Amino acid sequence: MKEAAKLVCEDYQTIHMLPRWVTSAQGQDIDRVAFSSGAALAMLDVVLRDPSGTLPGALLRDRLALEAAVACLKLEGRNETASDIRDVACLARAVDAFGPAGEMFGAWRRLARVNLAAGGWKDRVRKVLPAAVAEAMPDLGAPARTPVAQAGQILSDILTQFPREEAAALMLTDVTLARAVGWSRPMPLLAVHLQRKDIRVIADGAGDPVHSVHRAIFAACDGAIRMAAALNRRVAKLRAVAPKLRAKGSDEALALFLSHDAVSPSGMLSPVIKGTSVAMTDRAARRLCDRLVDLGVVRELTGRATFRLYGI
Amino acid sequence: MAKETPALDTELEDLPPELRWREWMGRIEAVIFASASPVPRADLARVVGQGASVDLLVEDIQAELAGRPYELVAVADGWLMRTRVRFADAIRTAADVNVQLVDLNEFEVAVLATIAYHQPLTRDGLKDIFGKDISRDLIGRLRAQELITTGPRSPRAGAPYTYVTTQKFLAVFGMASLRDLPDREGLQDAGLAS
Repeated sequence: MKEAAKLVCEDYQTIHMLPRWVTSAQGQDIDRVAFSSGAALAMLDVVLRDPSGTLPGALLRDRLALEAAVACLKLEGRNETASDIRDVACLARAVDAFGPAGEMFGAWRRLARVNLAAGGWKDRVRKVLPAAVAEAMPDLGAPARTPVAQAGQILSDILTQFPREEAAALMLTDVTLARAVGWSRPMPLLAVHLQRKDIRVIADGAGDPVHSVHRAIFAACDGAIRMAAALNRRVAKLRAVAPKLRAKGSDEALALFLSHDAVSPSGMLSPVIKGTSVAMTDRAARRLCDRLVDLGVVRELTGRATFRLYGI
Repeated sequence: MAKETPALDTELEDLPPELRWREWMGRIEAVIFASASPVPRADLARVVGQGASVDLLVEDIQAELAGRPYELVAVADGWLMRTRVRFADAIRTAADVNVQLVDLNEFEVAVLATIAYHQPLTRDGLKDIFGKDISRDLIGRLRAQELITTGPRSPRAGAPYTYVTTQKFLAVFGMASLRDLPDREGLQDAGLAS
């Protein structure tokens, strides 16, 4: 049993961390930070291009979106935690008002699902933004400059114009970066790693946005690569046990786990599996989740006895 | 309003640019003046030309109103025209204004503020904060005035509803977003919260 598990891990362990010569670079001068962020971005790019085809990209973006939402709420002076947001996102019905935390996560989640390679992506990005920012949304990116310079430019443009719309500015910065390096979907990277005081300084029209963005990108890429490696490992385990599951609808349920940060058995798996027409009873949904936990491929996220939420 | 004037000429191409801009400003000011509730951007965009920025037009109007006793302010998801705060005493003296937009006593305001800061919040959550039961009646009154609405159910026994504030709440208290709530640190320094 142990042997088999080890084998699986080795088979799928294709993501490598940033090399030490990148992470151990000292100093804050622009030369250093630009070098580190460029190297880190290139590594993340390789991870996301996913030559082995095993990366759960949707899940990675969803989890990054959750982190970004927490960071943005903090910038706005609210202190909802990731688990508060999960509760709202999983337990609210369509007719309920989501409240500030649910709306923030909803916006990041929708943004991270926009396909930047398809036509009409601009309108889809606009729909996520507050009306004032959407109307003023500039053409993103001047191709002549580096991706980080483009991102820094957008960040300072939006923040100086709308100093209180940090979330929208950070969203557009992530979109600009993704467009500039040719990713098909935005990665919520910068919100967590740009420091509050950097954001304030940029909003005041002072400071060097490109310098701050370099620093944030380095930290964000490091974090995203680690998260991708961890998710890759767990998803490999999940895929390995998938043939053992004989419950009706288990394939569809697993697909949901592979694209959502958290899954609630009542509501998202039953009466029908979200996004499909496959029916699943309440009891079957609970049993499937329990079984996945027993198999060690899914975790219960809340520690509660009721209204449990599960995620990879 | 839009239905009565289906053929409103928004582009005004026969006017020189400056007059066209004035006309657009006039329209926006008129629409906001005529409305008792905040007018969303989309409605304003319908009375001006395609390429005109509603924000710039509003800014120009605001600049023009600088010396006047009333102002154009951004609240919730739109703009509203209202008298300036420093004339409140004068208005109260001249006209006994008792028909208010909302009718709340002190305790109801306290409950409302608590929901605003801690939303989504259940009645149990309110009880923990106030140390006593908050009656369904009180919640009902806030709901009837559309200051709060039901949010997602709380993950506790009985799945009680949570409450969240509405757009009207922002409009009534003159806030553009929840960020305009006085920040907690400031309240603590002023001795208003602990």
